[in-house]
Amino acid sequence: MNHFKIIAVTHRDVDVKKIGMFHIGDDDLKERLQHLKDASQLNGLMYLSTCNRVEFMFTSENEFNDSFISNFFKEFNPNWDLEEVNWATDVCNSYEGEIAVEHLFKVASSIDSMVVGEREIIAQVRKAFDQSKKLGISDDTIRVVIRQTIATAKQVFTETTIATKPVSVVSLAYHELKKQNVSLDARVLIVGAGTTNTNMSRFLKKHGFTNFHVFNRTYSKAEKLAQDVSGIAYQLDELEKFELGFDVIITCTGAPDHIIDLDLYEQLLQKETGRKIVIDLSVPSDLNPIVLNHHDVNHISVSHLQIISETNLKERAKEITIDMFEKVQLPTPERIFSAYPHQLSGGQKQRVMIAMAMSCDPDVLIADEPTTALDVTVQKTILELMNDLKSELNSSVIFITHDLGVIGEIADRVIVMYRGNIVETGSVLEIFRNPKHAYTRSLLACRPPLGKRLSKLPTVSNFMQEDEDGNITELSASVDEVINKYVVSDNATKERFEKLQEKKPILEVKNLKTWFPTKTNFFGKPTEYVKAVNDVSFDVYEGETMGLVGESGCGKTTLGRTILRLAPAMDGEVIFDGKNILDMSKGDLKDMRKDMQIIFQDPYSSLNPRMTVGGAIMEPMTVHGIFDSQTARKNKVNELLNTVGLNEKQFNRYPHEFSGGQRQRICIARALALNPKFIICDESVSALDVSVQAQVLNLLLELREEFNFTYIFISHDLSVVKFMSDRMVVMNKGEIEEMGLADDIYNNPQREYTQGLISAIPKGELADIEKRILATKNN
Amino acid sequence: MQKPLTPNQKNLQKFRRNKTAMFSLGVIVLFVFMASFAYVFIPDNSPDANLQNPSIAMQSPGFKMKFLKLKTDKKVKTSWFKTLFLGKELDFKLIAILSAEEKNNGKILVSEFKGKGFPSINYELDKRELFSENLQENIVTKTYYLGTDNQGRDVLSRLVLGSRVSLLVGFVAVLISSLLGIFIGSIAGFFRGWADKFIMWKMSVFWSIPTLLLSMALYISLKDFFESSFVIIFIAIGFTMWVSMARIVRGQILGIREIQFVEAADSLGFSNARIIFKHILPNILGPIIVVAASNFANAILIEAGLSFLGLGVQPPTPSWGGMLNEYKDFVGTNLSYLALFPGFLVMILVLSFNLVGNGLRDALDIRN
Repeated sequence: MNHFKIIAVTHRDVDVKKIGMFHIGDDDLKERLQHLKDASQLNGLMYLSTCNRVEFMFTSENEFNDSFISNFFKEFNPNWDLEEVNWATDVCNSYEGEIAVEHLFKVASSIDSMVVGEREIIAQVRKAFDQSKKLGISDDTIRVVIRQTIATAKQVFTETTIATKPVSVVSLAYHELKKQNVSLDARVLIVGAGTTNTNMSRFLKKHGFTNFHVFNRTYSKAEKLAQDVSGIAYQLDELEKFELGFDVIITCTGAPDHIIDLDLYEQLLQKETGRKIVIDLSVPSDLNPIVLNHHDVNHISVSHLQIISETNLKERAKEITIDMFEKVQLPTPERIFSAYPHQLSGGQKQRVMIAMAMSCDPDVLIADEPTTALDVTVQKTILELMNDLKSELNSSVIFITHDLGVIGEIADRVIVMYRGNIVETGSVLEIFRNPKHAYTRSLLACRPPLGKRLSKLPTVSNFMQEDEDGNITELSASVDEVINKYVVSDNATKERFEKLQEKKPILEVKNLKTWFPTKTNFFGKPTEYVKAVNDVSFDVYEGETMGLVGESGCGKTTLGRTILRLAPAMDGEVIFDGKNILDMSKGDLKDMRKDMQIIFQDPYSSLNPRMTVGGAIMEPMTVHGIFDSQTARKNKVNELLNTVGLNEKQFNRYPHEFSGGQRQRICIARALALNPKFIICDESVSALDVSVQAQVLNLLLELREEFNFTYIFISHDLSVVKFMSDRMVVMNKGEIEEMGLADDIYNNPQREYTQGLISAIPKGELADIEKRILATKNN
Repeated sequence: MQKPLTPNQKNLQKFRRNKTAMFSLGVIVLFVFMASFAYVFIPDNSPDANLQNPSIAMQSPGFKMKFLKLKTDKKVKTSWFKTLFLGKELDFKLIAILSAEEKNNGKILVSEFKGKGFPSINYELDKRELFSENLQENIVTKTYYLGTDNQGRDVLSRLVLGSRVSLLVGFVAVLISSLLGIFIGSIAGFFRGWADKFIMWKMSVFWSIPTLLLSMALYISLKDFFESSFVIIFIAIGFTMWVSMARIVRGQILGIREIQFVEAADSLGFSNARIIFKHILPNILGPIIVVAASNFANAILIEAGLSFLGLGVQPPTPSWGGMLNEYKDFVGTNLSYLALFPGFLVMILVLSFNLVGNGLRDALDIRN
């Protein structure tokens, strides 16, 4: 069974570092402790957050200030102690010969100060290892030798250090107890996992404490991390088997955040005696996985390789790399090893990135929107790969994305974030089954649904309202209620389409070919072509929205650009309003531009960064001589800004002051400035978050109603195209694969290619998620 | 909420923090100020600081001398504007004297200084030959802070005036080369294809000729067409340096052309010229400014080189390169400083421009 869990964080605006789980800065900690102190009215509190060494201690008697901390460090030398030795033993016990030594060295290289004991242990281990290798002794024997060596060393070490130096966190806790004049018969609860618990109890016993209880619970690394992230503390019911009313609680779990659960402490502590002590020793029983990842992955993996074999480091690294490539299912790993990034496809690049991240054998892999820029079909394979890898390599994955559909495909647990705060956490099933927070509901609702046709998409504003100060008022509407409000009946769809067909087509594309030469002969004549668009014909009726869908590289963007004559056509006709665009003179073309506009994919690069928003919208009007005076144009710009949901005050702002969604609105306003009849939307919402995407799609639909636009809507996302279009064209390798009514194609795809596209869409449907979770459990 | 800074404001802030660049900019501003208002404060404010007097030739710094003003026939028309920018022509003659006494008979006894090591000559002058009535009014004392050259001219004045040539040549040459370079580079980068190939080929040829040699060739071939040596230098240097500007503009445009807003402008029906001037060039102003700054430094060096070879601004107009040429024979004697001063000034000015260029490059974040 796979007991590792995955946490998903959603909403891309959030910087992972801000969650505050990995590194608690001094200020943060100080604040938390102060808060804790005030809230709990404890008179003795000690907090130790460490990775292998003591970092902070706090008591209520002292002011928690800088001088206190510095004194503290002067008093206690943060050296390695007994526990780390125990830990190293554990590591050796759990790994095979050679790897055990590697791990030991890994630890050694990550610790800057060592007491004599460890050096000796490591030196001995190394010696034993080298000698055994030379003698040709088998790995099993080596393991025994190493274990023996460490055991001996440990014994020596234990006897000399434990009683004399208060260097260990264990002894620190004892020290604190003594300082607080805690009597030897006080009831002590030790909460935690791993060796720290055993050490603690051993140590306390040695010093005369009699009445202590150990709550030992072993967590997997991933679970422990989960606690850190979400702040989930130990549940009271787990502790109820003990009689409540302790004098002292000592926790040593490796999870700094659980300290926030004050109620639990309150309940556990002896209320009558007035003496309440919580000693929190967050000593991980293993190396802190996150610290290991984030500060010395490269350093360690290289340095311990060097120890293994200084001479063939390069070959070894190559071996490992190719091995990794095989694991991420890259075809021809040998070839890809010597390939440059531009020679790989998007999906392959992402696989290499994953291999890179995985090569350091991380405990946690943070994947920040790894599939957002990919086609759905590629996205599907990448998600499958990540699912395989996390169980194979026993890694936890934090998967950050704005798309709840993707979350449904991969996550076990979900954290929903909004404006830097966690608004909801829960298992993936809970979130999809019963979303509590309004924001979660809106995220679930604003994905274009596949089964139904809607007149508009639900947005965040359907679920919550936010005033200027950022206070949120949640509305009680459920996802289904809101969606059902907008459903359009099949009859209405049919009627609309029949009405559209009464008019003549506004655009006719006949046998259009756009070929780009790749090879030329000696005289400069092309001999080979990439057939980006190959013999494509279709009509678009006035007022209709024609969807164009396909994987990247299928020629849909080139087709859009060829229609506008932004790319050169080889052959064929594009007849717009009775005139062939491909034969137009320069002057006619300029006039045509007024009627046909394009909205590009990337709102970040399709605005000139040196031009104010107002200037950018006004410029096409000036060039085409629309309106007589600049004032009239300016008024029109303000009107347009209002139309797309911005305001007049933003006239003199620069593009970099706007978010992606706002910039796309500006691009739309710029396209509208010329009063076009026909607009091509080239992946116009692909770079946007789903919630923003919904707003922009709604805007486009509203504009269609208001101005009777004709759209060609290009996207790789079939769900978006289906939502927007009356009819759609599925393209593959430059040719039309299938064409027809959008709903027909989705419900009844004729071609295998279309079926593949549809099945790859992350649907985020409850049934699918349940099936997946069940499948994992059965493994 | 504080309004976010525009890209320009951010760059400016970054540049301001660069102390070396700011200091260099200060030096340049000082030079420009000095050059513009040179005639106001230099001791010899005659045109081109060309007041010669062989009898006081090659005096060391700090040298002081008395002069007697005598009447001449020359009529000088002058205005303050002309004085400010072109200097003031003298309407009297100056002779170096040791002493001058008025005698009872209305004559004046003059003891004229004839140079170091030469005996002075004593003679009498009629009072009417004086520039004005009163004898004391006609005696002036001058101090030569940096001494005099081999023709008895004030070295300090000539050095200060020399900066005019360097700065003016730098400015105009950069203007010419930038306009030319931006124009040619834009065509190559924007239209690509055969235009680009042709221009790249031409540029490679230009690039292969040593800069100084090329400007010499241009100078010599242009000599017959223009009167003023200034114009010839402007053109010679400007036409030599356009290549570096054109290359950078072409490269930048090739890159920026691929960004979507250029295609967006195309789809809105804008003309090519509009796209280049309104949409592309403002976005590559950074690299252009950086190249212009380093071109400025180069232009100053080339001008000094040409003047040193005698192909620069023609005497008597003082220029640093020309002064180097004139005084190069004194290097190694106790008059070395005559050649060292202009050399040092060229160095300071070029260094300043290069440092400002570096500062701009860092601030505008342009990779080499």
